[in-house]
Order: sequence, then structure tokens, then C-alpha cells
Amino acid sequence: MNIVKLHATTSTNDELKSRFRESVLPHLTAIYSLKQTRGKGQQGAQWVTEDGKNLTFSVLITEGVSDLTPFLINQVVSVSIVEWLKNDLQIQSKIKWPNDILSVNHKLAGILIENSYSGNFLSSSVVGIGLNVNQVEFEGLPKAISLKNITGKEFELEVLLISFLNVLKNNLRDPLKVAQDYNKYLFKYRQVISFESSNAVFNGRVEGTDKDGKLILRVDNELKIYDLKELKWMY
Amino acid sequence: MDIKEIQNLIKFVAKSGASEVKLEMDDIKITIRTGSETGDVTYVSQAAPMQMAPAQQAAPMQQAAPAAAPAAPAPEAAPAASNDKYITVKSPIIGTFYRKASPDKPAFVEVGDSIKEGDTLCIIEAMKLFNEIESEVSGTIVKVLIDDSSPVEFDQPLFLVDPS
Repeated sequence: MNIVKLHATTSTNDELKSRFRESVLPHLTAIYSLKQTRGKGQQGAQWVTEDGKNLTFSVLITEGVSDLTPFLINQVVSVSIVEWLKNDLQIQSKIKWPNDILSVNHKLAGILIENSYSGNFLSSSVVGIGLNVNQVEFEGLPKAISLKNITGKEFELEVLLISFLNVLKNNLRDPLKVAQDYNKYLFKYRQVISFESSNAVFNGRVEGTDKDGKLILRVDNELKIYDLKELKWMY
Repeated sequence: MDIKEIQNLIKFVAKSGASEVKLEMDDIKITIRTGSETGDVTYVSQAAPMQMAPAQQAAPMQQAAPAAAPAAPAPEAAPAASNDKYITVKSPIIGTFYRKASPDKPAFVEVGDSIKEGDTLCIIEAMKLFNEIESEVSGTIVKVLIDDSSPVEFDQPLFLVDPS
């Protein structure tokens, strides 16, 4: 395992992608930074974090990546985080579709995956993960939570990183099998909740995801498939 | 022929754009169908190619037929039927097409730009997952076929590239 520690960078995903463009890096090279000046959240949102308190890192996946799809990678990474939290830290968590990690209904970790395609096959994947660790106050973010909030303990960032990377490494040996566990870890799996789509509010039972990653809901006893953009959760 | 070779063969056939290849050697007969028959509704073929491959690989022995010579390696991006001079870069997945890394950045490529193999041409976003599409050839961008931020289907042509 090849781990690079930085004191500051714009974004660990950008840093890893640019280093990978310039030289050949081994599978599972990871970069973590104590400070990100332009940490990327989803949809252009910034990932705001107190310096040195949280684990923000990116890991490169190259081996076997051409046999995977973007959503399979997302499934393996999400399941790996949930299993790692459960087995190594005794923390229960769920995957809020498609890739937020929630614990006690609050956001504990976020994932940002950037892949490269060459022709019809993936050539590499850069997986960025932000995990709230030792930060206890999240001003303006009422739905955020950290490992310290949950356990009352402080954690060494690098120790966490190494133990997580070991879980990921193992899970990438049999990604298709690991991906099968994605549905059962879904937030509100097999529960009925309210959603909004096309300005209408309705109840749906979360049944899982299809191969492209779309959400399958049972609505009025019928299975329906929803894209991310056409669905709002009202929980 | 070991599993690795069969996997490579499946990948090769999938990339070549051929819908079916039959191969017969001393003690082995293989038929590979890519499942992308033309005329099918698009959502059928939007299945990620690699998810089909393992299934076919599980049952590689089917009826034999004269070997379809694996011809000269087809250019990675299948050439369009009409523009024989140009190479068409197609979308490997269904998603949303972006020409820029973020709204405040310039486009990855413009018409007339020279590109090298491995250069990023665009991003296709799907399910909050971001996929950079790299060029498999060097050449010049002749045409951008899709508007920024538009939805694209699997296999939809995105760019025309003049490889000369």
C-alpha cells in the first residue's frame, strides 16, 4: 500500500488524478491531506472540514477496474465503508442512495468517484472519501456527525486510513459479491417513506437499485425506477 | 486457451463493435455475442458491457462455425459507417454529457484542437459518478456532436476525430 500524506492540497482527488497523469502509480495508492482548500462535495458543493480533524483522502483503483462499471465501484466502496465501520469500529451505518454514509440518520461520510474511460472500458478510478472523525461541532450543517460525536473517542487519522484501505483491498478481490450487499445496507431499505417527484408527493417502499444505480421503489404495488435528479426524499 | 485469454477475446470482440464472433480451434469452440443487436431499444444495450461478459464466459462452448478471422485490430473507437475518414468517439455509458470539468473552467476540447491519445475529451456524469472520457487516438477534433449538459445514451456518438 502506497500512502502519501500532505499538509494541504486543493482537493485530494485532483492531486491524485494529476499525479497519476504524470507517472504510473500502483493500484490502491492513497493520498490524504490534513487540509483541503477546495475539497469537492457533490454537485459542486464544497466539502467543509476543520483542518486536521477529519479524514479526507483519495484512493486509486486500477487493478481489475476494466471489469467494473461506475456503479459497481460505488457499491463496493459504499459497502466497504459500512462494513469497516461495523467490524472495526462497532458503528452502525447505512448508505443513503446513491452514496452518502449515514449513522443515526446523520451524515458521517461522503464519497466522490471520478473514473476514466478508455473506449468502452474503465481504465482507472479515483475514489475520494471524506469521513468526519474528530470534529464535534458542525456549524450550519445540522445533519452532520463524526466518529467522535458517536463514540466520544478521538481517532488517529492514519490508523483509520490504513484499516479502511485493507477492507477495500480485500473487497476489490471479489467486487461482484460485495456489491450484492449494497441493497441490504440501504437507508430505509424495505421501508415506506415519502418522496417527491414531478411536484407530486407519494409514498414508496425502497426496494433496491438496478444495474445502472437507479432507485427501485414500490409505488401503489408497482415497481418503478427513478433517476437521482427526478426524486426528492421527504424523510 | 485460459480464462484470461478468453476474457481478453471477449473484450476485444466487445470493443470491435461486432455483434457476434465464432471461433474454432483444435479442441475448443467459442461463440461470443455482444448482445448489442441493432434495432433493439436503447435501454437494453445500455447494460454495462462488462456485466454481460462474465455470463457469456461461463458458457463459452457453443456450436462451432468457421472462425471469424479476428481481422486487423479495429480502431478502439469504432469508426462511423459514413464518415470513413473520421473516428467517432461514442459514449460508453448513459448519463449527462459535460464539456468542462466545472462551470468556470474552459471546455476540455474545441473544434480544431489537436488531441493526443489519453487526453480527456469530456465528462459523462451518472448517479453522481463522474467519468472522464479519454481519447484512444491522436488527431484533430472535427465536430462536437452533443450540447453541453445534455443527456446521452450508451453508444451515442459524441465527437468526430480526424486521426490523420
